[in-house]
Amino acid sequence: MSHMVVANALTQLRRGTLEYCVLALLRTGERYGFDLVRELGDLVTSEGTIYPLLARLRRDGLVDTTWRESEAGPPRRYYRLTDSGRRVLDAFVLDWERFRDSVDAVLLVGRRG
Amino acid sequence: MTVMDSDRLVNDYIERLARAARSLPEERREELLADVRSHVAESGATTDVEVRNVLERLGSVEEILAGYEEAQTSRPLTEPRLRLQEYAVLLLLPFGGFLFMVGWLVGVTLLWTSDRWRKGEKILGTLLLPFGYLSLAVAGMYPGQTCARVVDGSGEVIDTCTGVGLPIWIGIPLLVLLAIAPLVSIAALAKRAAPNRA
Repeated sequence: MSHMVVANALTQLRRGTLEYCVLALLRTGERYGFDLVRELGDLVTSEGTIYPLLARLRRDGLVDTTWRESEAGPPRRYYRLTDSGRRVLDAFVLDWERFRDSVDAVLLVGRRG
Repeated sequence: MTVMDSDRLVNDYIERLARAARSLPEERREELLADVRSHVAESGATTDVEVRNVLERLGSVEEILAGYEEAQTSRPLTEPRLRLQEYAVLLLLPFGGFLFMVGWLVGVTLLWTSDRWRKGEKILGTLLLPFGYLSLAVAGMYPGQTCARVVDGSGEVIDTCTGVGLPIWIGIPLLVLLAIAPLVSIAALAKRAAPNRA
């Protein structure tokens, strides 16, 4: 029963933060889908869902894409952060750090008590 | 034989995906299929087992489609339309003139450096009204025409008038227009503000 509760909370958290994690990975430079999935690791349960997520980020103007030829293999679709995406990411990081610190502080109290 | 089997696995998956994605707009669907094909190719999987692994990690066709549905219904991740800068503009354009006139100039600078409005909208905000309500106050102080009645030495009555005045039927409507112009202007700006419009 307690496992179900935890799983639910973590699923929600994962879903809510995944797009910002993708934006953060793009901060250092452009990436292609497969590469992003690899870096996200455990944060992604079904890898295919990265593609609707990226489509949504494009719709909202937070990322741009271009297809590029790769030396050995098929062309790859590269994703790049836009200025708007950068600003949204920065705003999220501030909110997240505040939230994370609050939760940690309360959990710590709970543990001591 | 292994190669053909793994190809068949991939094609089967793509086919199922294409069918489930029927409800998506054509462009989206084609993109998704291209992305998944590219994903499988990128994984470098060649044997049956490897391909099965990749397809399993991709997830079920239903899960991927559910991702699109969620993307459709969720609120867009965008920046707020009006930030501190834009609120400052909406306050300083009508009233900043009263802060030693500098306030309005600051408002105009913030207006033109903001990316929330197009050029035409910025021109509207600048010209309607220059210095905002300060202009109205100054215009209100204009005495208009003043006339004085003088009786000269020989008993003649002379009226001398200086200045130019507007007849009341022009003056009052003009005053009303000038009074609401700044409000109309900032209401339009507030309504049209959106990220990345400049």
